[in-house]
Amino acid sequence: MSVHIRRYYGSGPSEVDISGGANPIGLKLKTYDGDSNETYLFNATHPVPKPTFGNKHSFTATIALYSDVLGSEIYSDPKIYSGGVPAVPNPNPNGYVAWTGAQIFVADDTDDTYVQAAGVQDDSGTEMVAQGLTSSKTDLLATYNASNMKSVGLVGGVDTIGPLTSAQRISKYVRVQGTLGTTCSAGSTVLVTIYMRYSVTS
Amino acid sequence: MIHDWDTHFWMARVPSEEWEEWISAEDHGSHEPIFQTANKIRIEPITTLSAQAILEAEVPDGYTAFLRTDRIEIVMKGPDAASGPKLIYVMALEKGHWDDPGRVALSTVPLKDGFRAELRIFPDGHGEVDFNSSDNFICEVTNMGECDLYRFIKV
Repeated sequence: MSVHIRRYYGSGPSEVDISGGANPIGLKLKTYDGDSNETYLFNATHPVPKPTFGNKHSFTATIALYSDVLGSEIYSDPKIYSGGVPAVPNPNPNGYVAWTGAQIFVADDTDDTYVQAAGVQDDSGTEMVAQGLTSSKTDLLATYNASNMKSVGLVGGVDTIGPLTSAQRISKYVRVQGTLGTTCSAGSTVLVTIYMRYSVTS
Repeated sequence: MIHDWDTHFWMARVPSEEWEEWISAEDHGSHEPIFQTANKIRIEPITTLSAQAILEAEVPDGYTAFLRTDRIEIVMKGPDAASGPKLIYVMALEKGHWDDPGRVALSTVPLKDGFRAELRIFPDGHGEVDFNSSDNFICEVTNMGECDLYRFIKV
């Protein structure tokens, strides 16, 4: 019984917990979003190609806070933020590349309506504003940090929710998308940290 | 309610005909009406393995106390994930009355006359205290040997 971050994917949507546990899956951004674990498995399949002009995007990922803690907790103030743009480590045994020309955007709009990500598999996701998932977006790594968190909102737009009588999504859907420009380097970018924070009435 | 992941818990002194009566998270939630009568609140370590810091405040007449435990989940885990707090105990006071302060989002309560204090617990177990206030509250720190007492005082 706990609160986790859940990823919503495919047409259903299907759902998977990506945080918590001994080996959390984490969030992998790919050029794929189907009703299969290929959407979220942390492997090298369906990478975002380096563009020769313009931008290439991952398929937009949809995440939210989900709780199966029943009868006790009152939640409020869900937020998302990052640890910033990381430098390339030295030494760099994994050969990570810098985030030059690479960004992760978060949709400015959050809501309670799931929409499957669109795009061309193994080429580019549809940019989130163009798909109509949000009216605008913000560079998550460059903008939101522990001193400037993005408020996400609770499901239904209420100020607090709980105690719960059944397991459910407690935050609005948050959408994130990776975007590459022509100046990016081929390879795996340095791992970044993205957090979600929420309050429980003690 | 004290969870298995908690490192600290709250206590609150409530009016009583007895010499002194304290309630705590062991038997109560801070959303319960009895908590709103508290005239002193504390956040204390559960064990000697917890970060040895106590947060304490008197609740002046006309002020409302808020207690929150903020939890942090990781969406993407980079090497710096271990350097951020995993758990934050929030103690807040604000002048005014809220009918049901346990069901108020603290983000909707502007800091006008009161304070916000955070005890941040990091993955390695150490803690750090952060304090923000209007200009009529101060933070005093007293070392009590094994433990630091942070008192938030209206001046």
